Amino acid sequence: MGAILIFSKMGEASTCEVIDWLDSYQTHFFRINDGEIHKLPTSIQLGNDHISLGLEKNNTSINEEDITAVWFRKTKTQEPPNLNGIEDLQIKRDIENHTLHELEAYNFAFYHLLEKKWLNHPSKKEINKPYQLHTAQKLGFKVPPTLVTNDKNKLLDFKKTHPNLIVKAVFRSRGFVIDKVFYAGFTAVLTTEIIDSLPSSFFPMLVQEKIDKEYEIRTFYIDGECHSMAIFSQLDQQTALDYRRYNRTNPNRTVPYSLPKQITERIQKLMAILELNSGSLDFIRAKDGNYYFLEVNPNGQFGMVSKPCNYYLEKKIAAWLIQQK
Amino acid sequence: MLEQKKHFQLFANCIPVKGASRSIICDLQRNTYRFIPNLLYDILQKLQTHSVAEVKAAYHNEYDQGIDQYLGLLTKSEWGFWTNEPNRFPDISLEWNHPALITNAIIDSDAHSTHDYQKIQKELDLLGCKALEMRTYSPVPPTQLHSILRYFQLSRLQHLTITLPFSDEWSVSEITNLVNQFPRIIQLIFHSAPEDKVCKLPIETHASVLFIQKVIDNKHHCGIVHPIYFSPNLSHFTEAQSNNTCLNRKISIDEKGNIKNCPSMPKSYGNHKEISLLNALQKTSFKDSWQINKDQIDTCKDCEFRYICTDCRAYIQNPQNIFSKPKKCHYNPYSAQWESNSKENLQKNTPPSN
Ligand code: SF4
Repeated sequence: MGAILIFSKMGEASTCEVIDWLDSYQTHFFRINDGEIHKLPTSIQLGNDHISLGLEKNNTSINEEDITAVWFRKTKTQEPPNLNGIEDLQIKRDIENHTLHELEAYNFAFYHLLEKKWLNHPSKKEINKPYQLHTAQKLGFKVPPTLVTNDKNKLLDFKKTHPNLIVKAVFRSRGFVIDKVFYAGFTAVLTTEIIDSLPSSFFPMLVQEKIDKEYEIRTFYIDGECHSMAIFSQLDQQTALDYRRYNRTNPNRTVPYSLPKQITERIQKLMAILELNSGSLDFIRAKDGNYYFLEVNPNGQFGMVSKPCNYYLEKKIAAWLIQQK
Repeated sequence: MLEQKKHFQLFANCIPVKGASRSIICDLQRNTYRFIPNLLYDILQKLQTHSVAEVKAAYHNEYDQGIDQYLGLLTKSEWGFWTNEPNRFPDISLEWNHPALITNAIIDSDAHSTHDYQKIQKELDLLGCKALEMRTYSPVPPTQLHSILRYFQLSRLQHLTITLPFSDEWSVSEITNLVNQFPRIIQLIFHSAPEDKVCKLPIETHASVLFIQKVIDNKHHCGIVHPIYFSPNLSHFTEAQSNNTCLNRKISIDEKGNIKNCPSMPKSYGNHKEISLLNALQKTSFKDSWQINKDQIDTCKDCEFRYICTDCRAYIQNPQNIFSKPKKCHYNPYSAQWESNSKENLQKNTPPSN
């Protein structure tokens, strides 16, 4: 009996919706939450001529042969085992690091040995942003002039030719919880005052020229198909720089968008080079008429495109998973 | 800057609906609507395929000033925008679909009811039901409600709405305790209460708790059509295109255990003691009313509210005609008036027309 294996987080809403669709097609699934792989009774046995993978949950188990496709929605960062008995902080940190790497390797053993159709293999879950921009540029995409640096002189030089700058994380914007308040990582304007206050060498950052937007575009890509949404963040000061700074009382207009054929073709090429079969891509449609590529996120939220545009992407993902036999 | 762009478009989630004497634009993103004259509706239709200059010319430039004014207003309030590339902005699909056989259910009960809640929970889960409304017409002490709701704690239900008579046992701390224990509760209505008020709980919760003085001692209190019940949102609007906005994918159990489309409807498909929900659902004619949409209903089909209004097929003007207008609606789309003894005040509940 075939089944679809799903890696996700506990209670993740879009996972539940896809599962409802799988269910409506009477498709079996096996869901693993929050990197539970090492918390469940699991094993990999390598013989001379065979491998057997054991996964078990709530007294049901699944055989490797029965898995028809794997959906890697997201997973939680690993937590180290309880090391409260160890007093020496240095030793504790070393052991923590060691165990985290071991757990990661244990999980990846399953990921690598499950030679199935994956909706994004976890080895592709992080793609370096400067590398993405470079690859996109080679395919003919416009990208905002970008500098990645830790050197004030380089930054000052760049500012001379690109006076309006914004700053982002090199890897990804994440948030922090400080005193129970969540501080999200956003794109911000890099003012002259901020630059002046920097030491001659600083923590690395990614700096880009601020592009004058007509609107932003978020595209969900799955296996060759693009489902796009325009975001009119420009209408609103609060979101003009970064639409993730939602304005909840008067949300940005989000409407279905149809990309020019040439852009769709470039996206298909880019995803093929990056070996991704799904992902969320961000673009700016600039006042100058150009489409600027910003980034691709392999495990991007598709709900935020699916719902406002009535695309039923949850159903499409379920159908894709079922088709892989 | 605006002058440079030739086309005006409403945002795809702002959809105009024409009525007999006026129209509305439904803003399905910001969940509101506004009135517009039918002439503007026609102009907006033409603007879908023609530039503003072409449309103005089609009216022999007689309405230029009015058109400019309206489009200016719609631009400023972010209902529409200007572009030279109308093809990049397709209409939103009006498809409605849902993975579950049943999306919502009602269970009525009174002092004589003998429902098997465990069985109900199992069967609703099998059908994929997401929303449950429980209405009780006689007092339920907290311990009893807790033991009923415990059956639903591990179910697939996402939303639970409960209507019950107020009694002294329901102190604020009892209510808080209930809402805390059962986070699926999104609304709790105590009828027969000493006063009308919103009950503030001392915890953070998404559940709204209302006290109302009105006595709801039987199912006949349902079916009222009023602007406060309008739902200008994408899922309601799309479902309304080809389905009944009350009965589609609904199943109900009345206080006697009869399985029905809605407790107020006469037809029973069997008693839950003898037949499962799934078997009742599979009986011929159970789903007949699901696809009765507003475009088929007398009067409603000419009403500008038809895709945001919740229908009622239990109380209708002519019980012999299943396509007749809901009895508890006092709106006349031909005169654009809320009539007779209805106390509705449109201005209070809806955005002003311009
Ligand atoms: S006429 Fe029909 S659609 Fe219009 S408000 Fe009344 S019930 Fe709703």
